Amino acid sequence: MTTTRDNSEAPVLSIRKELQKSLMFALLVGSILLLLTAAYSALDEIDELFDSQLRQTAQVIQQQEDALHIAHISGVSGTVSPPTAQKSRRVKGEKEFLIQIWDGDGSLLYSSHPAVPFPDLKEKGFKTAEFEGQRWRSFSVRADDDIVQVSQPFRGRAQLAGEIALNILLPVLLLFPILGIFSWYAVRRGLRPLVTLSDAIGQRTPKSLAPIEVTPVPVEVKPLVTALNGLLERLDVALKTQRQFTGDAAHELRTPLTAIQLQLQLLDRAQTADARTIAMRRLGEGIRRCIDLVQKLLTSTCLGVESPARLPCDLAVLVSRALEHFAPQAIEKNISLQAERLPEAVVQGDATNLQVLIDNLVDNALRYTQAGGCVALSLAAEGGRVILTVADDGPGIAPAEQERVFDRFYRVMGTEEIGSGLGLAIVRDITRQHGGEVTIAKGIGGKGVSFVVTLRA
Amino acid sequence: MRLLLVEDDQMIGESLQQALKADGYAVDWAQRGDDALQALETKVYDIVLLDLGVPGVPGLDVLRRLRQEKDAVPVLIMTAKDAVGDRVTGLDAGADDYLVKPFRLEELEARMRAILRRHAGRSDPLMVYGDVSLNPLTKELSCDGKTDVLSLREYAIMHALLERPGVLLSRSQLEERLYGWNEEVGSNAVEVHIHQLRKKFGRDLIRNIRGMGYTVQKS
Repeated sequence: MTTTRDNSEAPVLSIRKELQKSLMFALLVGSILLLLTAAYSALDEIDELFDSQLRQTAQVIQQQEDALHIAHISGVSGTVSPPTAQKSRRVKGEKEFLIQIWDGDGSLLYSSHPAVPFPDLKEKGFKTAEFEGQRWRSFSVRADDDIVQVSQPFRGRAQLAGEIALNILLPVLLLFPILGIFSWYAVRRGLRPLVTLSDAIGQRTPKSLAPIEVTPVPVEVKPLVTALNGLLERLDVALKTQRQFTGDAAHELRTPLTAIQLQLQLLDRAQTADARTIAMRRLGEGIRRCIDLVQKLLTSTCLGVESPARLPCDLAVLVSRALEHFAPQAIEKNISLQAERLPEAVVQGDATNLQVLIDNLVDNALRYTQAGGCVALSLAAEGGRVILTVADDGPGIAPAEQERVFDRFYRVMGTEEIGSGLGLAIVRDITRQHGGEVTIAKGIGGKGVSFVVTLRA
Repeated sequence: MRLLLVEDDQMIGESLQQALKADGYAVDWAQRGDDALQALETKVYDIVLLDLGVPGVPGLDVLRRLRQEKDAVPVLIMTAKDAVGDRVTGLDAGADDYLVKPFRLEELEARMRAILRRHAGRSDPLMVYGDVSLNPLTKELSCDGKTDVLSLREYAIMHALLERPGVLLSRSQLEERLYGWNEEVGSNAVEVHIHQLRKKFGRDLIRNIRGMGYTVQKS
């Protein structure tokens, strides 16, 4: 799953690592928050508990005060010392209290830790004070004239709270490895469809572009599968079209090549000078036909690959060039090739391709118009559109065939002319490339056919 | 031998017609499938060269219809399709052989000779009857120890007569084997060629039964 086929230079992005990083970070932040809240609430509880202990101790001493007082009055000299920690300079731990009793005159009657000169805070109830660099908490009550004050440093409380918080933290720390292992498994399980998907993609070849079927598909992966299947389908169609075209092209090349092969052998077998001349002429025609087909195949292929230029071109200029180019052919075939009127008609497009378009239409018209016929070109610019018409008075095209004449390698049946079957397909492709359309209408004087190309000005 | 060429391409058709005529065949050329069917209905052919991609009726349909009507004329398919499946379909539809374009004339001619030989039930490339033998490849006729190369017309006549030796062929039957469509037939052309043959190989080569026709003499 973490194997990567990209080159090592590219930064490797691992979903699992990212996920685990985020999880661990969240866990860390969570534990810190947990620790802080636990410590605070523990401190709060401890305060309450210790305060009540302070108060209870003070109240117990208050009730015992009479006895102490009696002892005092009956001449017990010195102070009454509890049996423990008499000499201690410090009040240790959380369980020890400093107990002090003063009489009405303010003289100390009793101190549990005589070495600790904690002052009389002179206030009843709870009080927090600073003494010898420490914070203390004390509670005092009045018993007759005497004052009973029970005190304790805060330090013990904080220590206890810290201990409690640490006790809570320990299991939380254990969560880190457990969560790490669980997330590793979860991510592995979650990403399993991706592995299946990548296997499925790996099995696809140009020959088998069947849609990918991964079940069950997680919602997160589904858009990827859908997009991939869309791409596979488009690829499949494109490849099939390409294969079809290559196959058709190979097939179409076989016919003129067969003719050339036969013509060459006839030339070889020709026994008289006349026969040789005829065979030579025919061979020449065969070769020209082959060249024409190859040229058109190239044009047709390039049209699908190269994006055309978008420059202003005057169709009138291109039509004039076509007229000039085809004039000898028209004269030879005794066809009147003419242009009715050529107003300036500028379109945004590829001049080379547009010239091919016009040439192909004129060539096509000259091919299929009989001797003595007429081929007429006209241009019109109206309402943001430019309309080019190439009309003839030839045999025309049957309505049933009008749709198909634009198909590649389609030739009108029963015509003796030798065409490549690509000329009109190229016309259609170039027109589409320029966002225009080409239609078929009646030709000159209701006879023949005219090709009408409409382009945006 | 009368041959029907079914081919829509002008250049290929012209070249084949010319080459096959020079090889001694009387060639009729049809550029459409329906024209081919019509020709096959009205005339008897010794062999048909069939391009599958002809307009009108597709080549394969021409072949199937021919076989449905129990016409056993040998058919050689010429096509630009060379997938194995296409060949199988063509042969299964009743074709005798299959030639993929582009091909050389020699191969076409050799395959045609082989088909005609098989069709006549011979395995020997030579056509032999008695001591008369004709070589279709070299167009040489041997008879009585004499060997000579025949002209195209002479060859066509001898080929027709040796195809089913001993069977009488009328003058018009022989004429049919000699001339394709649009070819002028001289009124006594057959007699002229037979006269030439007899001059080269002796009177006994061809027997004429007056009012009936001609046959090869078994000496």
